[in-house]
Amino acid sequence: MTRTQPPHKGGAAELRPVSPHLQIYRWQWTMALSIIHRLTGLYISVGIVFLCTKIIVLGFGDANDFAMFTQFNSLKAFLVLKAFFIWCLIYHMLNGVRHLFWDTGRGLGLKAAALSGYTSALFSLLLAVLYWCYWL
Amino acid sequence: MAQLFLPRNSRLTRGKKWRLPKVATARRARKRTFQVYRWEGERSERPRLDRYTIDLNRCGPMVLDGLIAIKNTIDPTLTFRRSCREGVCGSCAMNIDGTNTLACTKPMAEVKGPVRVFPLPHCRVVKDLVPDLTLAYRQLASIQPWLQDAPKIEKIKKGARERLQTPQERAKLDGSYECILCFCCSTSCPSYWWNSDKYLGPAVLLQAYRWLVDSRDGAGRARLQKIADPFKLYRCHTIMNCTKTCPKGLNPAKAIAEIKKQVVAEL
Repeated sequence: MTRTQPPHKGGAAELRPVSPHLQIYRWQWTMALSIIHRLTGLYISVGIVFLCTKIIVLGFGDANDFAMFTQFNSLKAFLVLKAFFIWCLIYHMLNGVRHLFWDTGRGLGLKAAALSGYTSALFSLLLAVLYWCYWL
Repeated sequence: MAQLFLPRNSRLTRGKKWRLPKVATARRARKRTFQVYRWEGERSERPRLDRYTIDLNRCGPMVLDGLIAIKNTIDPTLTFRRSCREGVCGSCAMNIDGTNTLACTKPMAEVKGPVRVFPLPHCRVVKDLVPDLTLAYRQLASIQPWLQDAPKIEKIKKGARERLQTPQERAKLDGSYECILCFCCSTSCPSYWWNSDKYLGPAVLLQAYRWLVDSRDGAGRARLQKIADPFKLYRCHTIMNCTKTCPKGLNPAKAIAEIKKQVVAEL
């Protein structure tokens, strides 16, 4: 049998239904921690772009340009976004350390991975709270 | 691109309700409800979730026993794969109570509420609980899962002795040779769901690892070169759904990490 295309793309197989996946798969801590890592990564990249723009404006713009950014500070919603950014940054960093550790081939047992996962989640929250108390 | 939602023809509809057939028995029926994914190959129809009631007094303890009871006494058109009924053949891999496992080794008692049974996730469905695994098998063939060692084979032809393995070398195969290729792990992996046409998936990578660590195999470098690919290997993001779901208690995530290490060390 020589099929040039994967069976789930094109041809008669396309008419077959795809079995449910996200819709029915029971939520696992494994996939939860992983998708949180991705989403926090996404959010910090947006935040970093904002920060960089701010720094560039600080360097090259005048006081009026910069005021554009400082006016955000009075917004409550902005504070929430900022606080959330801090937590995202910390979680992503701690989980990143976890990934580095995994790359050495260690800590990949289910128990160890669960422990490290919950630890990074818990510590990210703790560190974020500390940061919020001090900074915000 | 990840398709998070099911295509229109794949969305579930409410199915039929099948009654427990009346049988004259001394004991009162201990009822258990099953919700089973059904698609009977009719292209115009969407899959449905049928509800069955079985009597636990006239049925074995495993989910597979329940499915067999349904097929034998309620609805003979229900289709599923099964063979060994003891967790060594991998035929009855399916999604039970939200995670992938073997129906023959999953006790009904471990499931709370109705027993929900679906085919392995994100596969093309042939009929009911039978997924099309053509792609997975072809991916397995692509890693050439057999012993390869041209120079040593030449030696054997010239009358050298067979290839021996020390107990330590043999021990390296523990944890990968036990895989029964049920593909519970691959079809539990979100990364495989979104990229199954390019990513090899945990089951196949575990097999790749099994040949990479075999002391008798001499094709290691060629094997590594073949799979060290942004998609074939590196779509693994260490989500670990594979290890979480493996009905044989194996650790494909660890095997993949070891392959990544070998790529760094040897290529």
